[in-house]
Amino acid sequence: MKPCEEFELQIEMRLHGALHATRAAALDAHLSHCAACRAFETLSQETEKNMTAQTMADVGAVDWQAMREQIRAKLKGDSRRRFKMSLLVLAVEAPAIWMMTAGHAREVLVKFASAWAILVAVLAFATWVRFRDMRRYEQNRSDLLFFYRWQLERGISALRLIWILLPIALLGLALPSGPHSLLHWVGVGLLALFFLSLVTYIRLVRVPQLQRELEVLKGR
Amino acid sequence: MSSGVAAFSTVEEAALVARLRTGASSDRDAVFDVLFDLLHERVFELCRHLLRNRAEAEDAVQDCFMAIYRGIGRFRGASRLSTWVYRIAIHASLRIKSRRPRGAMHVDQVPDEPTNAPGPDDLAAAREGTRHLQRALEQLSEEHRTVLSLFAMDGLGHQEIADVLGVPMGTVWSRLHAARKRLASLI
Repeated sequence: MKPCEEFELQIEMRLHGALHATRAAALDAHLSHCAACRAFETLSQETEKNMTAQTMADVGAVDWQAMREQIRAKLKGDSRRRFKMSLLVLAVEAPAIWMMTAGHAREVLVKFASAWAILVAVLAFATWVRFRDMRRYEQNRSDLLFFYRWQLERGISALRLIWILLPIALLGLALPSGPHSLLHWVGVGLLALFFLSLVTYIRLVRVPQLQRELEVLKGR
Repeated sequence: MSSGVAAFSTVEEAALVARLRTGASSDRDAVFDVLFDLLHERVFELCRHLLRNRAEAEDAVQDCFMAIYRGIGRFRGASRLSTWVYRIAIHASLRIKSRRPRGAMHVDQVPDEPTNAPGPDDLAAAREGTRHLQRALEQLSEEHRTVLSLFAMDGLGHQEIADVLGVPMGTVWSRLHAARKRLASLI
């Protein structure tokens, strides 16, 4: 530790009411003959005063009642959006399955169910791992920013792997034994389009979003 | 330093946690309202420090309280309720920051209106000093900015800061010291 570093730490502690009186006297004695530490003390005080002043001015300028209403409206909007998304998924998948099952109802449904079972199992496993990690983190109290960084890195890797799910799902759906009608292939096409949109969204929107978050956390 | 922002007492917190544990799911709205009343200013303060932009800080507060509403039923009391809320606020701020387009200026400009400074020279010097500080803060790493922001919040004890960051007390002080030294070198 450099000669003044210990005193600089003590300056910070005193500024936040954590320095014992006996050490404060020694700090004052040091400050009386160390210009560098006095400058450091002034900088610490000024920085905090400045940060606090600007923030507190803004606190009074926010319309809190309007914000509370906005939050409530957004929460309601979220539920509605989720409901609409579920309806959309059903609207795409139900006709697609109906088309595909023409003449092969049992076989296609079994393959479709296995493809979805794989997808759901993978997602359930990922969710379980995430909750387990969160709980472990809460118990161990590890470094918050380090935890976010680690979580993001793992999330990005997991989402990149989703490419593998697309061929698995398509193989499960598109390869029932023939012969097939045109309607069957339209159904396969619709489902393929649905999976492709999902993966494209993840690859082109979600992964870059998470990567930007990671860059912010790493301070780039 | 005093900001006038009321502290979130452990008594109020214990009552809320008890209500969460024993209450029905319909209680979630009521608990959310109490949490908003008690913590909105402090959450804003933290987000404003981290983002240095009022509009973005307001968005972060909204995201934070939405996350609180969704996750409130899962809170099991492994930490203080306020600690949990501040962690969510930090996360919400980081996410808002990552949505900023690259290269654009997002920090609020220092206002030119006259303040209570004694004379025009002092006023200009004060404004210039604030601008220097804003620029320097912008260049700090998230780790350094977060610790400086938490310490700049009035009434947040150093033990709670350690809990929010999830690091030992000694690490908090050394991180604060490193952040201040870096800031000094940038100013």
